[in-house]
Amino acid sequence: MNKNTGLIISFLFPALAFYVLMALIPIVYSLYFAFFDWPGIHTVPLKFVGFGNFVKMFTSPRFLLSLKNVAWFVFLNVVFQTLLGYGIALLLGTYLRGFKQFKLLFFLPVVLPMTATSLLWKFIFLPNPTGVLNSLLSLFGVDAVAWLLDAQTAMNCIAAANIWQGFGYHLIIAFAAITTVSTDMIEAATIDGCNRFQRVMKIILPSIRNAIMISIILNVTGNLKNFDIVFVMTEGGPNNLTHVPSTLMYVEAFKYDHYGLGSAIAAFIFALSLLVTGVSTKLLGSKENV
Amino acid sequence: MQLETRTSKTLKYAFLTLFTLLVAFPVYFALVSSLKSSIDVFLKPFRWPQPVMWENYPRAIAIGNIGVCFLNSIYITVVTMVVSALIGTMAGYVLSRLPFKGSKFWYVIFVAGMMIPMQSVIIPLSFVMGKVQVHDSYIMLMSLYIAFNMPMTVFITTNFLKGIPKELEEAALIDGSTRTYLFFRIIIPLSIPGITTASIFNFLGSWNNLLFPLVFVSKKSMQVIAIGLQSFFAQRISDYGGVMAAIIISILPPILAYVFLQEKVEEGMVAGAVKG
Repeated sequence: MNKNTGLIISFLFPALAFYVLMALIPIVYSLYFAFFDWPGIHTVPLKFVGFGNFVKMFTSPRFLLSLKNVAWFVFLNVVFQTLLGYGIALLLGTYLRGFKQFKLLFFLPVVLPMTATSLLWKFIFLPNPTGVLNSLLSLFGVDAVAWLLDAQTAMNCIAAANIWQGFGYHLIIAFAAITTVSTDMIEAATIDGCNRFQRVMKIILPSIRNAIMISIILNVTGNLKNFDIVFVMTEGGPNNLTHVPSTLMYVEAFKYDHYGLGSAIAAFIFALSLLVTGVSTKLLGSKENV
Repeated sequence: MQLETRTSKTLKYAFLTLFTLLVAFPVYFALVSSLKSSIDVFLKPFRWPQPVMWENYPRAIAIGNIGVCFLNSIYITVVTMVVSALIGTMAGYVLSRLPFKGSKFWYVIFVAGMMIPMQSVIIPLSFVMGKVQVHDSYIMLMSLYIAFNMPMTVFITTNFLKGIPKELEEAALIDGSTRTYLFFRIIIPLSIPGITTASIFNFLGSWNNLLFPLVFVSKKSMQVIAIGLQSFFAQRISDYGGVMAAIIISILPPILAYVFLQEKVEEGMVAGAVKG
């Protein structure tokens, strides 16, 4: 018997209690919930429907569209946040003058509340001719664009706002990775006559491959679950065309009282998040062994 | 040393400057618009406010309910942060210092929580809250935040505590101090850097959260800042100056935290990346 048993239990208990009660049990319960239907009224009992909710989910055009939307959203974010984050880190990397100020500014959006930044971008993308972006474009003779009101452009606008908010995160990861690249190697290459471009392509990029992988994985897992920015900027509109699974889940459950379908989507989001994390851990693990 | 040519250097700084303007513009736009009349926000979106409309701020705070929401958010965030730091560090202490059968297992259970999406728990929770007739409860809201703070807090403090030499404690134990006493007098003060990193993460998480109050808080007097912004925008769609003032108020705490604790904030936000 461990002489610290009492201490271990009393120190571990509070953290575990909150975590198990409010996160762990609900997430397990949510999987159970996905097999029932419930109209959202607490006096009405749950009704078992088997895989009915999942059948409904996979045959719902709205859900399939939300999958397409989130895939495109994640794709845009991965490409642009990684390019901007790493591109700027490489550009700033070897020159320290102004480095801190640039970094401060570029990372700032990361810490801001997404509700605030989403509203801000909603303003910038206002569809009327006097909207900020439209009035800027009119200086170049471009006609007003409907932006968030047009399903064709809405998803890209949301992605643009999200890229603005998020790329600084990857910039910081990139900086951290670049500073670990051996300066000896870079100096040796320089003496051997490598130019800047070759140094980046042949030495720096291969050495920070793992960091880039981590950036991409975090971007995928984070943005698959993104709720705030879509919810605030379009609420899934116009005509439910810009939903992603998490906003669709919210709307189905809390707006239309389709709790069963909502639960199936919630379970789907959780399963997807586990799958992506699992696959990426495998990928990273095998990369490290190389 | 290879010298860069002057043109490539100029190009680089030109690009960076242009990009900086692009990144800074939305925040600049919010700031200047918060001091303009609603008409000027549109007619002169890029100009410095003239005249300066300070009254947008009191209007947002009083009529827009932003003052109440701000104080509610401060209260919730502070309680959440303090409780999370305390109980998270307690768990981290046990998991890093007092190995027992299953300690590895509990650590993994905690850290695995990083994968739990917030939106996946709201339906079962609202079902249960309806059953037990709990509505508009801050205790419930703060418990949720604390629960979702645990994975990162335990992860950071456990790993931080592993780096503190055991000898410090052992010497004091021989002198007859109890472990609980040591925890509060020695371990906590030594862990302040780790606790700060975790707390910044928790602070931003609670302050910026939209989903939980959206589902679990409906009373106007209990709304938090994220919801307050949303409903202010929805109700007073034409009060652009006021909404911009509200946006500025809501981003002030995170900005202040970042400006004063830059390195810590970066560390706290990227802490998850270390694990991968």
